[in-house]
Amino acid sequence: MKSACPRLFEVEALRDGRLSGAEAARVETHLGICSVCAHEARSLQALATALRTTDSAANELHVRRERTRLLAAFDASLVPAPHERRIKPWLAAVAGLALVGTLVGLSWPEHRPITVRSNTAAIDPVRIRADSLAHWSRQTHPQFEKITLENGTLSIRVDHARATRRLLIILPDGELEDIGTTFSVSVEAGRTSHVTVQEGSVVLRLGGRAALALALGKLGVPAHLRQQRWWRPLPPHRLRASNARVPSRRPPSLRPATPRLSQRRNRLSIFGRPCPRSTRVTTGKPPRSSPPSSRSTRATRAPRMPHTFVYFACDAWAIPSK
Amino acid sequence: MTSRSAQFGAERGVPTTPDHELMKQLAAGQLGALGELYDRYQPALRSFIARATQDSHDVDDLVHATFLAAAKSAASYDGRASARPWLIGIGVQLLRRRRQTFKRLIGVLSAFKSTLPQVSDPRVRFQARTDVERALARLSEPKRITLLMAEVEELSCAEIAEALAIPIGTVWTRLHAARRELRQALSEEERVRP
Repeated sequence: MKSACPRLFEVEALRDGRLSGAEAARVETHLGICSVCAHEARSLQALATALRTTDSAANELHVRRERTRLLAAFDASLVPAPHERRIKPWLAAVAGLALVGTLVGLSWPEHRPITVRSNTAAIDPVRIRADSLAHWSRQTHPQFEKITLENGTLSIRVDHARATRRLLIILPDGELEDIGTTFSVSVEAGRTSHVTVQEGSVVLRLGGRAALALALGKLGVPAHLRQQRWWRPLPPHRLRASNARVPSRRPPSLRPATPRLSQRRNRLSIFGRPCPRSTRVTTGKPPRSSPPSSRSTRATRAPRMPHTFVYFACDAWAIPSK
Repeated sequence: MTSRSAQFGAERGVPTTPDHELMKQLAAGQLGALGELYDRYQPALRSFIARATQDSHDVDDLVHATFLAAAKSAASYDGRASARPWLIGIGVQLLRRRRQTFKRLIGVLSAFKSTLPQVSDPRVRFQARTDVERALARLSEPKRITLLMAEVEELSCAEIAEALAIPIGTVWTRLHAARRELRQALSEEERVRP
């Protein structure tokens, strides 16, 4: 076995360029006289030769194919394809339109009511919703507002916190005065057909008669009774009594919708006398065609309404003549 | 160690344009210059990358990416006689990026150790055909690349340090360790062989 030369490390150092000048010359001289170091130098050279001779070349066809792919890619990087330049603005325009459309579509249902509501609330405390057949007009006077309804139905909501004038609805056969309410009034063939109060109360004056107060409910005036002389208005002292609210002994309920039965009966009294104890109060849809001979007063509640209404179907005997 | 600047075209006896002229033409966007550069250095670059990565699938893509990167950087070519070390340097940088990418990928896969029984490098291993290739494959990639740059491409240690962005002392250390491990692996191959 060969003994290790103490200068063996200098062979690799010479090969890697760590020695230069006189030191490199001395090592080269040493290689000529030291068989161990010369063997190490030959071994390192053989290793390098073995590494260089390792062949991993691809076949000619594959090289040609790769060359074409490279040149095509380089060419594409230099000159973008013409169709790309045409498509890009088109794509940008379509994308922009789609984005704008999406934004408008998303924001429209939310913003429109907010805008209208804020404008309406800020400017006009009286919100009027007319049906498609309504023929009406509106005039503003210093002391009151006058809405003339000739035909159709108006649904009116008055914000009395902001309203500074009285509101009068001029009907063909009378007038209706709002005293703090949400209501709707219908006119058919030149006569008042229905008054529905959803909140608060109104005062109705028909044909020069004295005022009728109507609180939560619906006053239906059958056509064949409108010309009867026995349609008696409420005397002024009874009218004030009927407008007075009945104090409740219970704590205020969190359900504002349905009035109690006693309140319903109290409101029935606006027609001239208190509601009898035998009055049937039923819930459900109001009868569409109630026979005139039916001697009953029904209070019915319409199901599934956002606000609970009480409909009063008035028959002949419920408004007796004095 | 002297840098080999052999001109492949000159070896074939064909009158060729010098590399720095080719680089000027390439910077001007001439496709022919890239084709000529490819013809000159594709075999050497492909061989280097194939042995450095030990990954048969990525070789073509890496060679492709190296020439494209060289074409983009042609205006900054330093004017040396042979573009081969320059191309090798670009290839090595791409190899480093690729190695870091795979390192991150393997790190992510290792995070799922509880669900995966074993996480291994998804790269397809290069099929070694000789004892030297098998021994080379056993080296770590940094050592393998450093050794190939020094012994095959005949780059100086200073050039290797510049290309790999590492201190020259690290190059010397890697070279020494790579030679020792390679020779040890080769001697084991000889002992195993019947």
